[in-house]
Amino acid sequence: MRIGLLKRHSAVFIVYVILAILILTTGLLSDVFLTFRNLENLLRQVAPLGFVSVGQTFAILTAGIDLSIGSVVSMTSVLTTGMIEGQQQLVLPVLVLVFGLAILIGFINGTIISKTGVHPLIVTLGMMSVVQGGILLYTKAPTGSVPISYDFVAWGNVWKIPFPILLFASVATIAIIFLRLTVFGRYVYATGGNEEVARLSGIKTGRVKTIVYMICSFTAALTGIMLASRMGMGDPLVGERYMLDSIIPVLIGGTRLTGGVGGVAGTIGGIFIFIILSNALNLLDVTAYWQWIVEGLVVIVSVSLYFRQKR
Amino acid sequence: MKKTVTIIVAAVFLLTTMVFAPMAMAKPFPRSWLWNSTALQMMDTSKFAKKGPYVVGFSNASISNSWRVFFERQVRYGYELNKDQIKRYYVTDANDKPDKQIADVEDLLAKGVDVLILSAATMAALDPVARRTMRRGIPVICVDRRVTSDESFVSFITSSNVAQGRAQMLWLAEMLGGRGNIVMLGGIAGSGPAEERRSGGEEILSAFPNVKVLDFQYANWSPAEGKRIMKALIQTHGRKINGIWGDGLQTSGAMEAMKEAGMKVPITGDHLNAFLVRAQDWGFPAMSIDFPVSMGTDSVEIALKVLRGEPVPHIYEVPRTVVCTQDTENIKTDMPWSRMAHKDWPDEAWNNTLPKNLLPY
Repeated sequence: MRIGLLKRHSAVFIVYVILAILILTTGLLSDVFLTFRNLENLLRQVAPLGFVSVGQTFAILTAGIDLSIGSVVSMTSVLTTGMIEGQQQLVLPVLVLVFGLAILIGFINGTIISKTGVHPLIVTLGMMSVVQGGILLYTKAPTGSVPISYDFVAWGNVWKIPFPILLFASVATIAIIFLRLTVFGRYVYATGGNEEVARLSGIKTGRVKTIVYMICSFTAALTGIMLASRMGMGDPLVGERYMLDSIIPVLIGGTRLTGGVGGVAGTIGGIFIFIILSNALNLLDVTAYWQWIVEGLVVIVSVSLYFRQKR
Repeated sequence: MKKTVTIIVAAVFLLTTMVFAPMAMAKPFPRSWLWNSTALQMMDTSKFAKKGPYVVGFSNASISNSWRVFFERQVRYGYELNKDQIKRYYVTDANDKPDKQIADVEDLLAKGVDVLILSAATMAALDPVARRTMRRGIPVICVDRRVTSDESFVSFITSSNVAQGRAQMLWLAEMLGGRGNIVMLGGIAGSGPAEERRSGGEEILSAFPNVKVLDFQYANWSPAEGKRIMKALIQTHGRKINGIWGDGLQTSGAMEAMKEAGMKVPITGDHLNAFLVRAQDWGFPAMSIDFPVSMGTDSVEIALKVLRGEPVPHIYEVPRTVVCTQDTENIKTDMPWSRMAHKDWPDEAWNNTLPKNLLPY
């Protein structure tokens, strides 16, 4: 029974073993790594990438992908600061508006994908271009500001624990429960595992996909508003890196690009590996060129492992 | 007699030393200070004073073009020169991503830096983290690119970008005799230096109503993009183009495109060796003003002054040189063009103060 459980979750198990080795090795090599201040930094850095990667996990589980995620991050960051412009009373209405807009983008993505059958890669790539173009029409340069109280989102503490990690933990927990314990979660796995069989079994796969892309855009909006707080302004290009970066932790975490296998628990491990690696390279004073090489190798190795699993 | 000669020789030696020693010790004075209309604001840094040796952290926006590579080496050179006062030197590279740079700064703070040297990817994005760093009692020294608020840093080491844009446009307009069509090639859209240089150039244009701008394009400070965009502009405007205003690396590529099209017009740029050598070899009327990479070394010197509690200027303008193949009424060359164009250096080299072992080529 235990061996069966371990086998079923072998990818997640491997991810956490790698994470433990990474933590131990970095802790031995750097006397700063395990200090309170650095751990606090790490926990704050996890959240922005964490949200989008959780969303991306949903898309990849349905054998899809969301490449518009980066432009939605930029859009929410720019609109949040651009419309709030430091005015406290506008925070809530603006947040409602940007979340609504992001979810609408996800709805459009999902509807086009499910109604036309066009591959999500193409649809979301097109959407990325549309949204990014719209952002650059709005502003070509960093813009806007947020009131001081908004700082709390990225910089605040609750009982000495950074607020961003508490928010991320809540989102990740809800996502795990959603995928593992609800009917909708089972539909997500079924749609990704074999869409045709799922459809013949009575699952409305189109609706499942639409909701999944709405979740994806919602998490991208969370990252956008977190970055708006972290930077105190909106940057029209800030989301660019998340298009690729959001996929890497999902793959490291053992979710398969073909869909139906994996989950958020593995992705969380992948996110920590990705963030700790970047932190460790800085702490160990590794030069920028080597950092690029190491990060590139991590992408190649994680994707290779995926193909090896597939064979 | 012997005594008299000895006294005369000693007097001459003393006099010579008194006259020439200050000259030998004098550093080049930044001309741009002369043009600054506000009084020099000195910062009291006594609250940051501490005993060395120090831990210095440098958070770099990127090494995405040759200017930035040389600049990063110049900061390192500052560390090499002051190894007796600096026990550890850390450098991070944000790859032009402001959110990564915020994480980089946090990592440097975790490593216990005594001073943070910051070249910000984006002025506004790095402002909150710089302000927090200052609040923790760690002085922030901005170099090349600053953060938004004055209270988020102790000193900003730079050279006026507005003045650079003005000087380049004034030379071009005067070269054209106040009449003609020009194209403008900017840096990266939205980046502080690019926008400030553009606005400086446009200020000058208001005094020359007969100089018309046919087009403005951002060429991302890339010679390759400068060439590609210039080719397209030649296709559109052809021989109507009488001059090219450019603020950086892109104009070496633009010059190539012009040469291939058989056109030769006045062009402005900065001290990228490719630009200087080609203008000389191909006979382009050209003007170049540098944004000195050596400000990287200056930033370390200023950082150490702050840690010693010595007063430093809030805005520290570094000296810069202007070279022209041809002088105009208001813009004169500081030295012959050939002295700045180094045929034995690679294309991507910049005028620098680096020792051989730190050169990136």
